[in-house]
Amino acid sequence: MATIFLTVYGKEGIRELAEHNLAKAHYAASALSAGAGVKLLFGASPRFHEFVLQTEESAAQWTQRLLDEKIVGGLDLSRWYPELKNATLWCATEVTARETIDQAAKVLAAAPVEA
Amino acid sequence: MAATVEQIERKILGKVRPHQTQNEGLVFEKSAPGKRGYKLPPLDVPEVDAKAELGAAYREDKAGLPELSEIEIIRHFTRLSTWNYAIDLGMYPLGSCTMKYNPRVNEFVARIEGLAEAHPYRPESLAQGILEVIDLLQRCLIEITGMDTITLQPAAGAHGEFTGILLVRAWHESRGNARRKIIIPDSAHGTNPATAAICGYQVENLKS
Repeated sequence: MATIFLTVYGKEGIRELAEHNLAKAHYAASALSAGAGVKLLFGASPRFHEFVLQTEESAAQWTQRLLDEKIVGGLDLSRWYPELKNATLWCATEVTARETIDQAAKVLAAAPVEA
Repeated sequence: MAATVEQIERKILGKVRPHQTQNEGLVFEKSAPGKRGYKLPPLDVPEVDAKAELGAAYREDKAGLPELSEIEIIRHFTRLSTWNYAIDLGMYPLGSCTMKYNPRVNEFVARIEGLAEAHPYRPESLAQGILEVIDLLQRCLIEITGMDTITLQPAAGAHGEFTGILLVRAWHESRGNARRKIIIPDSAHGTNPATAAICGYQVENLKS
């Protein structure tokens, strides 16, 4: 299956595909980290289609808000890296639509305001 | 004695011939600059300067991949597939490998999206279907075998064999006699002596 995948994309396609991945992940990283209380971790390191976000709000809270919108959010990294509190691993590829990224960004930014 | 109709039919059906084209070239020999087998949708986000972004990790060279149209790719791999000897053509005497016979209903179930596309890290609330299937299978196998408990952890035949030998070893050790040797015929699959050796046993070969 991997052989056929590589044959279908071929010499030019595999680069084009990689560029789409890179562009989507960059857009997602900046859209999602635009909200107050969200920041991009390891932003200075070279990235392909994955990136790490850290939120002020607990991951469990916005995960549930995203699930209400039928979006599965980033993976909580504290399970493996307890020192990275509320840090989550996100991914966007050529199949991720801008619309979905924008919707996720909206939900993520809508943290309840503390009274 | 004249052959029965059944014997004749079996003889005809038993002869499986590969596709007559036995001189299929390599995909690289069929490749021509500019041919495409795909079309990506227009990029709906701003482009990124990959070279500036990736620095030293950026690859200048083009990938060493061929350029073919979709129908050429389909024909190439379909022709190659007719050369294969496979379970659908005849006897394939292997145990738990992927080449063994799987009933068609299993193939269907394995392709159900919720099972085939299940991500190991998705939230547990979205994995209840597959967890239910796994739990039911465990309970059924416990009832069928009469064992106290079960593990579905082994992902392949050799993995299961390894788990089995570790269980056997633990049982013998619990009785104060771990044993030292495992007798394996020289006709056995290579994973058999490998498993025995990794589990700390001495392998005794038996001539077949």
